[in-house]
Amino acid sequence: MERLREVLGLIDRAHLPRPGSSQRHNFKEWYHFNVLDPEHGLDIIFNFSLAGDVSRAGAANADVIALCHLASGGWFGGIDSYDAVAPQVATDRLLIELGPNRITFSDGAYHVTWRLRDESVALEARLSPRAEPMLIWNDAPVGSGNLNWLIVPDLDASGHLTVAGATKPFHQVVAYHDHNWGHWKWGEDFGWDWGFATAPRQIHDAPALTVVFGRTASRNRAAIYEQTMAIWNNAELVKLFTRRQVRARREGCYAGDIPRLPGAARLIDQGRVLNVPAHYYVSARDDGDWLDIEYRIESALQIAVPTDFGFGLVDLNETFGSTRIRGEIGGLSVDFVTRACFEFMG
Amino acid sequence: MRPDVEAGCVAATLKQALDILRSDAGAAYYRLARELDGMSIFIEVGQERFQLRCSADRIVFGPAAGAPDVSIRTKSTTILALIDGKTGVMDCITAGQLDLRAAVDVLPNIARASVAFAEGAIRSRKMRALLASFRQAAAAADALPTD
Repeated sequence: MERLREVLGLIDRAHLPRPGSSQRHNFKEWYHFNVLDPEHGLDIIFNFSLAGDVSRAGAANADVIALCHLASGGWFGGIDSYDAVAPQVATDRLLIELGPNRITFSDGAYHVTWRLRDESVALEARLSPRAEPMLIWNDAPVGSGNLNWLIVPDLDASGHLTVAGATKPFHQVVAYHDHNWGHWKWGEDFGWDWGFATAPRQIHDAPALTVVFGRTASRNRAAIYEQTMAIWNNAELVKLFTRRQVRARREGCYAGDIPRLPGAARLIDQGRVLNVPAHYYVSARDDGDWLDIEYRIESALQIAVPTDFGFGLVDLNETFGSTRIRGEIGGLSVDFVTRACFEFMG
Repeated sequence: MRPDVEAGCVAATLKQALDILRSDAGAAYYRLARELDGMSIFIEVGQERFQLRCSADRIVFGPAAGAPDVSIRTKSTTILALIDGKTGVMDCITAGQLDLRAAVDVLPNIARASVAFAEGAIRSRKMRALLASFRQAAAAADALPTD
C-alpha cells in the first residue's frame, strides 16, 4: 500500500488526447470525489471535468462542480463552467489548477482546494487512500466510444467545508475517488449505474469492507453490457464479481424533491424527475461467496448534461442514502448498515 | 416607482442572447425562429416594454403593424426563477407571475420555441456569462429604493 501511495500521483495523471487525434472532439475526462460524514449529516460531491477538443480555445468546457447535501438543509452548490484552455492540467503527474480550484497528490494523499465563483460552497480537504486502487484501462465500450476508470475506493478525508456561511469541519471520514477518461458522445444509447459503500469506521471489530459496483447498460436498461462488483477488505482487493455473477434491479420511484442543475433544464424537460428509484438492489453470487446490497435513496439531485448531438439531455442522477450489506466473502461474514452513494445515468 | 431593471436591460439582454444563440447554437436559433415564424410578440418586464417579430428565420426587434399575436408580461425575478429551475412555467401562470396571451392554436409553437431557446442556451458558455450580468443588473435594480 505504501508503494501504491507513492505512485498514485503518477497513475492518476490526466489523459489528454494526443494532438491531432481524430476523436479529440469527443474527449471526456473527470476527477470525481465523494465525502460522507453521516455523523454530521454531510454528503459532498466535487468534480472537475473536461469535455470536447481541449486543444482549441472555445471548443471544450472545463466544469467545476461542488455540491453538498446537509441533512438539516438540503442541497447547496452548483456548477462553474470555464473554457477548457483555462485550467493548468499536467500530464506527467496529478496537478490541476483552475482559478481558486486545485487538485494535487503529494505525501501519499490528495490535496483539494475547491471554491465556486459565487462562494456558495468552498472546500479544503486532504484525502488519504486506505485501499489499493483499481485501474480498468480497457477502453470499455460506451455507445460508439470508450471509457476508462481508475478507482480509489476508500480514503480518509479531513478538512472543512464552507457552505451557507458556516464552516463545517470533518475529520477522518469516509471518502471515495474515481477518475474516468475516454471518448464518447452524450446521448448515445448507453447509461450506467454506479455506487460505493464503506463499512462505518467506528465498527472496529468488523471487517473494513468497501464495495464498489458499476454497470453499463442501454439507456432504458433493457440491455446490460458490463457489470462489476469489487470488494476490498481493508487495503486489499479481495473479490471481483463480474457479468452473470451480478444482478441489479430498481424498485419504486423516489418521492422526494429532486433539484436539477442547471435549473434551465426544467424549461426543457418540464415536470418532476421520475427516473430515480426509491430502492436499488444488487446481488452477487460466485460459489460460496455472496453479497447483497439493499440501498434506500434519501436524497437526490439531477445534473442535466446536454447531448452531444441533436437536442435533449442526459440525466446524471446523484443520490445518497442508507444501505445494508450482507454476505460472505472468503469465509468472512459481512453484515452492516452504512451511508452510501449511487449514481444513475441515462 | 421602482424600475424592475435598468432601462433597456431586458431587451438588450434578450437581443444579446439571441445573437449568442445564432452563433453558438444555430440549430436552436432556427428552430426557435421557425416556431415563431410570422408572429409579433409584445414583452413587458417590469417597467420595460418592447416588441419583436419573426420572419424569414430572423428575429427582429421593433414595433409591428397591428396588434401583437403574443403578449407576455412578467418580472425579471420570475424570469430568473424560471432559469434557475425554482419554478415552472405553469406554476408561474397559475400564480399570476407570468401573463401569457395568445391564440390557442399558437400556444404549442410558443412552448416549442421556449424549449428550443433553452436547448441552445444550456449549450452555450457565453449565455452563462450573459445570465450572470443579467442577474447582477436585476439585483441592482431590486436594491433601488422604492418611491
